[in-house]
Amino acid sequence: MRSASASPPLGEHERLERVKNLAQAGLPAVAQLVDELVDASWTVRRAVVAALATSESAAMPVLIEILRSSRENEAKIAGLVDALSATAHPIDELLLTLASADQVAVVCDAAQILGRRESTRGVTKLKELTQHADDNVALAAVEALGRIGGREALESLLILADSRNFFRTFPTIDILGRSGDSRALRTLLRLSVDPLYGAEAVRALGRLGDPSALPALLDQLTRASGGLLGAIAIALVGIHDVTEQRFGTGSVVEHQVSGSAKVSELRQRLTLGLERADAAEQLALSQVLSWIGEESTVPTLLGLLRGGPAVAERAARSLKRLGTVAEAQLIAAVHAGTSEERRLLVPLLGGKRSARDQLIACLDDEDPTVRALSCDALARTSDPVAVPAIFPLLADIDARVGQAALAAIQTLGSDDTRRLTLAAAFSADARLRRAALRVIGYFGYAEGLDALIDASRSGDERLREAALASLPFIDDLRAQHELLEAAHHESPRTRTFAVRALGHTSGDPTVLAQLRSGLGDSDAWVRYYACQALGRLRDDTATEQIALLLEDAFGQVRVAAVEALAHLRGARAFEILSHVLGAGDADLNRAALLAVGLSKRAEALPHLLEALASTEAATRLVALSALAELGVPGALPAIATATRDADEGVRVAATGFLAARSDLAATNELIALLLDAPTRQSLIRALAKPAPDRCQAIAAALSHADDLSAEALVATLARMQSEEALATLRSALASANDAARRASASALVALQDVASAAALERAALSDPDAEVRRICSASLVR
Amino acid sequence: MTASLPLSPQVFAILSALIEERTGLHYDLQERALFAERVSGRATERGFETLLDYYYFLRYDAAADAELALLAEALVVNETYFFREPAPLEILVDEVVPGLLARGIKPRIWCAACSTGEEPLTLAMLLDEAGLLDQVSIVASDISARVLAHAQAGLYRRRSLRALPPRVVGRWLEGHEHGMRVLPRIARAVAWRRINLIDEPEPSELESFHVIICRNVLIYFRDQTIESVVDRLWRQLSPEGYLLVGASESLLRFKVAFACVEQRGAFFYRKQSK
Repeated sequence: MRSASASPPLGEHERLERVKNLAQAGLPAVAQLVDELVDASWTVRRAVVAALATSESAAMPVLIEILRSSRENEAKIAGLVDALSATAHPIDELLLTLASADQVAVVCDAAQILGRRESTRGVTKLKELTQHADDNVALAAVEALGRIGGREALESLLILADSRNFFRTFPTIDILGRSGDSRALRTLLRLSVDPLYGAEAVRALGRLGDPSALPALLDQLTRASGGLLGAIAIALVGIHDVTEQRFGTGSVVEHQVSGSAKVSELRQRLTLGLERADAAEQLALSQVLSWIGEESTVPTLLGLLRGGPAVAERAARSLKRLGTVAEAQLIAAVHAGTSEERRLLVPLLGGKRSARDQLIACLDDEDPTVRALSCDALARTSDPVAVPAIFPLLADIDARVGQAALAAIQTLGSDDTRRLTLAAAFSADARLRRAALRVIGYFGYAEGLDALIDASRSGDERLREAALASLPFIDDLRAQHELLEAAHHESPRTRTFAVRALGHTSGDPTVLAQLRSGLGDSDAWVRYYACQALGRLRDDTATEQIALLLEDAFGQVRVAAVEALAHLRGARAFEILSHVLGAGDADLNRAALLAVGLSKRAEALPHLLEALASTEAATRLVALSALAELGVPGALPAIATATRDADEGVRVAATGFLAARSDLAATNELIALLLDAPTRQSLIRALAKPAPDRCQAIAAALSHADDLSAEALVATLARMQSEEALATLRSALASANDAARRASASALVALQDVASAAALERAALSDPDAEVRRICSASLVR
Repeated sequence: MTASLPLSPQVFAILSALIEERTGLHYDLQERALFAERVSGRATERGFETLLDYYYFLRYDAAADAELALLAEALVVNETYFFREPAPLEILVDEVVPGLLARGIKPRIWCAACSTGEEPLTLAMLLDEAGLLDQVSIVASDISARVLAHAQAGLYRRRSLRALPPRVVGRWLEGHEHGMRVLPRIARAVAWRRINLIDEPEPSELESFHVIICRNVLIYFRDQTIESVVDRLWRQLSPEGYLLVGASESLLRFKVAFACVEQRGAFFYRKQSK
């Protein structure tokens, strides 16, 4: 029986409200707030953690004391650890005291929090804890040191790894591999030949990604067996991927494998490894075999194509890398394959003339995707012999196939195309005929004019449309005359197509008059395309008439009017556009923003800067594009700021706009952004685009960069693949800045720069920095 | 794969947002090329030369709703076949439906986003095999009128038939010039409706269901949309009704009033009160 006084349980919303009220009550309610960490709802618990993390500083000792003394509930402990890890208050001293507590579990929590806070002040205590009698405490300390990073933390981890205490060495190896710090290399190499720790150390070497490990790994590979074969292959692929990510190429790894003096032994071992490997190992072993150009790996790679998207993508890359070695087997696999398999295989044969006949056979596959892919692959062979086979697919029942066939035929051209097109332009098959009419326009076949005129007068509306779309591309006055006639057709769609096509003509006075008349057409789409065409043809005399359409009842016409005014560029057009900015209709506003950008007038800048603060990401993106288009000096800082926008699309676009500029100011902005966020790959890619003075600016930044920044700056130079960039890298090897020398040495080794061989050799022997000597010695080994 | 119309980041931003708003289908910036390819097919088919023109058509034209349905069809992989992942359907037929019938309830099952109809027709075949087909009401829906017309016609090519158990041919499927035809009595056992899962239903549009099957659809939606669609499905379910989603579509990370239950190795979501 329910008690009369019992109140019903609160809903989630009410409980969240209670958390909010407790948070507002401050210190007196902290203990109560902690009790809410046992709520069944994850959302409520998250709200409690956030409230605790942001509570006043006086609450922190209370939280730490609760964590120490109240250990009965796991959810409560986890929430307190989260809150204390996230708080911005300076609590390191309190945590260090907590880390000296008697209870093992409390010490573990303290270590975890210190690690998550990346507290460098905690390193000494954590080093001490790695020697704690309890393995759990030692493990927590190891993980915390791994998170904190830095020289002191790393050194203690290296000592621990060498201690060969199983429960401490094992997790430390993993942490060292993830550290990305090449000082871990020697220790890991030592451990890689240890029977107990070897496999784990090999995996860690792969994660570390330092090519200096290659000679040792390859040597080990010639002797390895069982699971270690797969582990070494995974490590080699890992080093390849890290190097590729850093310098834009992993070829140093591929070449060291394929150029190894023991390549036949390697081949034998890797092939042996395939027999008992799991899927991940098979993939890695096959990849390494593909670097050697080993044909026998093709069946395995073909099998891996069915292993999910990520595996299939890597297997496809390896098959591509094998090139002609794999070709015959690929062709056979396409021949015998199901439609599903062909979907994966056909793209790999794109551009291969030897596969032409098999690709032509795939044009009959029952799967439309295979048919479309085959058209695409045949187009890339540049072999017009395929045209007669592709041509019937213009009438394919699946529109995607028709589109692919059309694209292929347009790519391949040929006399066959002309003959087949002109014949098909009178085909009884309407789909084929429409496609042929489009091909006539694309190639501008003058002999096809009669067919176009005939079709433009057809009773079939879609046929008329296809013909009208092609007419402006035939250099004959009769074509223009036909379009002008069609602009009066009773069908609104036909008039629409005619007016749009008139916009593609050279725009003689008769055409312009017809287009101006189209602005008053009863159909909205005719008015839309009339605006668009007049803008494109820059008919300033239409300005006022177009401006009237800013009040049109149809949204698309209003937008087209804005876009047309943008192209007209006269002072009156700009004045009208300025009034449209900030319009209630988001599309109209965005069109106006782009339009003022196109105007290239400095007066547009304040409007665009204001729009960059819009709450709508799409509006910010359009404003940003307009700013880039505007090209005035005040635009640059705003574009740079937009690289930190909350929306990914805006960030990517802003970085792209900076990258597209070749002036020094843009280069300096990109460098400043990169120094601020050295791990952002999009910035590295952007800065890697060659521009005048860019290498010099990067060299200047390198002279005072720290390790992380130097690595990022060097990565941009490595990706430029220009002689100037290589020269800058070589100069950096003589820099007074250790970080610049380390980074440039890594890059020159990875790029296998022959011209640097002597300098690298000298540095290997006499550079004052041990790390530079170590990196350069890798090039001596080769 | 096919020649795509150019798609600037700006047009991608507005076009993808519009499509998500109207259909729930979400595309990330990284998928821009794929999106451009799929949208270009429809835009070209419709006669547009640029994707901005096509955007304005979808935004302002009276025929936009019908076009959006066709576009949605082009954007998602309508890659389904008979007897695809049949285990959960068999459990429905063996356990859930008989349980409801034993309580004197006529089971109502909704296959949401059924594409070309292979799934509801598989369910109808399994129910027929168990002698229960005439005691169950099946509704199947999709956003695209075209795929529903395909389903109603009941004609299927080889790709749809690739996982057929031997007992099916001859019993529920008969040979046809281009493949196989579903027996009309099976196709007629399903009520086909055009429904956009993103739209709020008319009060009279759908009654409540004891089972809703919505497989391989939620993968195309953003989390926020999934929550709203699942909330709608929750409202369409009778108390303790079953929701079946695809194997890769867990609802565990969402705030939804469903309990995940396992039956013979298949997972169902059971409606709970909020």
